[in-house]
Amino acid sequence: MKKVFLIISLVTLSTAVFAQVKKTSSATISFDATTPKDALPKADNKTVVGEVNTKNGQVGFEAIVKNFAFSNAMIQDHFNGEKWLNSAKFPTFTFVGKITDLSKVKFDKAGTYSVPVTGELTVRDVTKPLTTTVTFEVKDGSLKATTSFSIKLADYGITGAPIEAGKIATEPAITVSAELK
Amino acid sequence: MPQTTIHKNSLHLLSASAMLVSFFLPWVKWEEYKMTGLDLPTGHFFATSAEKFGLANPYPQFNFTFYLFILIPVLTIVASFLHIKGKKAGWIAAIAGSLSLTLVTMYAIFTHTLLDLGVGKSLSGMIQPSLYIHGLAALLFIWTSRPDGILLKTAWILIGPILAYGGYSIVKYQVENETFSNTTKEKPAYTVNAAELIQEFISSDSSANKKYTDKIIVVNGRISELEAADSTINVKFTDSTSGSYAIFDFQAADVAAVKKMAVGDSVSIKASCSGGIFSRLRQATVINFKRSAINK
Repeated sequence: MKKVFLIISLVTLSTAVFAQVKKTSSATISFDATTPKDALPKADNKTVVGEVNTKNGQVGFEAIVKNFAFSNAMIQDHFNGEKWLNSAKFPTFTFVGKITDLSKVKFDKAGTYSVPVTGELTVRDVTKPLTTTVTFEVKDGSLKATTSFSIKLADYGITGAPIEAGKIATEPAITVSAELK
Repeated sequence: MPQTTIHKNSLHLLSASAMLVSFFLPWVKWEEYKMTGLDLPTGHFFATSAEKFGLANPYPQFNFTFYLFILIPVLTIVASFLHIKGKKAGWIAAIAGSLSLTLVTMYAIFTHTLLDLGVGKSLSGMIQPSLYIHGLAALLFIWTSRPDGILLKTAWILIGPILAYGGYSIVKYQVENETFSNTTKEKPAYTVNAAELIQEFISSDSSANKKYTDKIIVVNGRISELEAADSTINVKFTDSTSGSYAIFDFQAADVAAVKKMAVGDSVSIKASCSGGIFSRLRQATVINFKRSAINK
């Protein structure tokens, strides 16, 4: 965890130094753990903090777990409960990473660029390496970033009968999209 | 007295004793918490479930009906006493037995629901021998009661579990299909000024989180920023000194109204507070709200 804080602090420090950071407070994370047996475990969080440093390629996002909005109250309670995300104890999801080949993205030139980003995702205080392809769309001075990946719940200590019974996907799909300024 | 009648009487009294003893022994085990038959009528059953596993009775207004199950040991004693005296106590025994079978079914179904939430590893591991003993004893208690009447006794045996399962299925359907109501209709727990709210979180996020998280709050302030979020718009109130902010994601019904707003507008927002954190990325306090509505 200390390592994550250190990396986040470095991202923040680099932000101040170079002022080349595109950011948003309204990135969206969609969490989809639906299965053929249960269509309820699905939610969006639209108030995610996101940043991309166009100078050094550092990227990061930070989401308050409790702000994932489910359509069903019971599933939302379970999602935040002690057995699942335990949001009272572990209130955030965080990702910090870096564009592996920054030269492939022209942040000053309109276009769409898909590049691998490697970093660390922290869920329930468990930090695991994650590599995902992020698509950056540069257009009229704005920057959009989107990525999709899945995580193994068991990797983050989330197990139990509903997962074994096929009511919750063992590897939920996560989609992140952000319009950065 | 014929031999079969003596056997039947012995079985009846044996089943009554088993019902009485097993009622006060653990029927189910939820991790380290053991629940006896008495724990539902006393309220300990749902109190433990809510406090330890976050699953409360969805209809607490009907909690008083659970007192009915205290009648199980009382009616068992009365029916046994009358039976010994040679009197017909079939109805009393049938009610006691049927209540027992209802309770046994409720415990098994509810424990299965907890299993679905990740409590315990298997239903068979969570159900304790006393539940089986109580169920079997209740069945036998009804069956050996006087007067005879196979059809009527079968009905008494089946009615409790059928009603319990039917009731559970209705409640389950309602809970699973329940959606969040329009925030506009919700009653707020607090009405606060945005700047004061942000300062409260900056001063002590733990006490502010305890006070506001998961509650409906009305926040009044002047819009600092409108930010695109997917196909919707978020409203931000920002403390210009610290960079700390409160941000609101709106329910679908209110998005069109928010899109007409501008930075600097005074607005009153009713929303569900998701709490605040100190953002490592922003080096500032961030407070999130969801399902927001313009407060009219």
